[in-house]
Amino acid sequence: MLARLIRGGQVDDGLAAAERALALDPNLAAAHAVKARILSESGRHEEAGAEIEVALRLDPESYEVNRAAAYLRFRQKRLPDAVRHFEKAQSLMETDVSSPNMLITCYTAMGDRESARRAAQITLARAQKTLAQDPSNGAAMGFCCNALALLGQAESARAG
Amino acid sequence: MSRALLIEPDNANMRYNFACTLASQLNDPDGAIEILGRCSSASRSGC
Repeated sequence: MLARLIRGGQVDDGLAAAERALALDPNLAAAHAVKARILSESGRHEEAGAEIEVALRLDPESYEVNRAAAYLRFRQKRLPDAVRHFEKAQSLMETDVSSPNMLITCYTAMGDRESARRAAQITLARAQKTLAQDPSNGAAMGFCCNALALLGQAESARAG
Repeated sequence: MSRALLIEPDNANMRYNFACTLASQLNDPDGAIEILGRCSSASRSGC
């Protein structure tokens, strides 16, 4: 949704661009992932799933592909699958803070408190690293707060 | 939260996430509603 660009009253969500890219080269895993993300955001999960299957077959080690797969499975409430892809994404990009943050939500929903704490520690460490370079990064502060709250540091979470 | 909201007061996504944290982790449903109420006011004013 946030990636949508409004041009002259028309909403361009990037789908046309992804399809143009795939017309030129149908083996572009990232383009299939972008298409899957857009379809998923529109609730077209079945079509998104088909795109993700292709993307994962083409490049199972892609950060973008695993992120798109994770969000699709999260929206479908397929939490073990979402976890698998968020874990993969966070391992592929060590500056990624939102994947471990999403893992907090997934593990908490699955009742796996220990894994949720581990995800919170990763989220906190990465968000603090971001804040060290960009002290006014509101999103990073948000990630810190959520992680601190899960780790039982309520006062720090409220102040941070 | 206070510092993040000071920097990005109109970030509705952040407010929603904080509301979830307050309600589910910090046992503060009143705080959650307060944060969402401000988000709702901001939305009406076009943020």
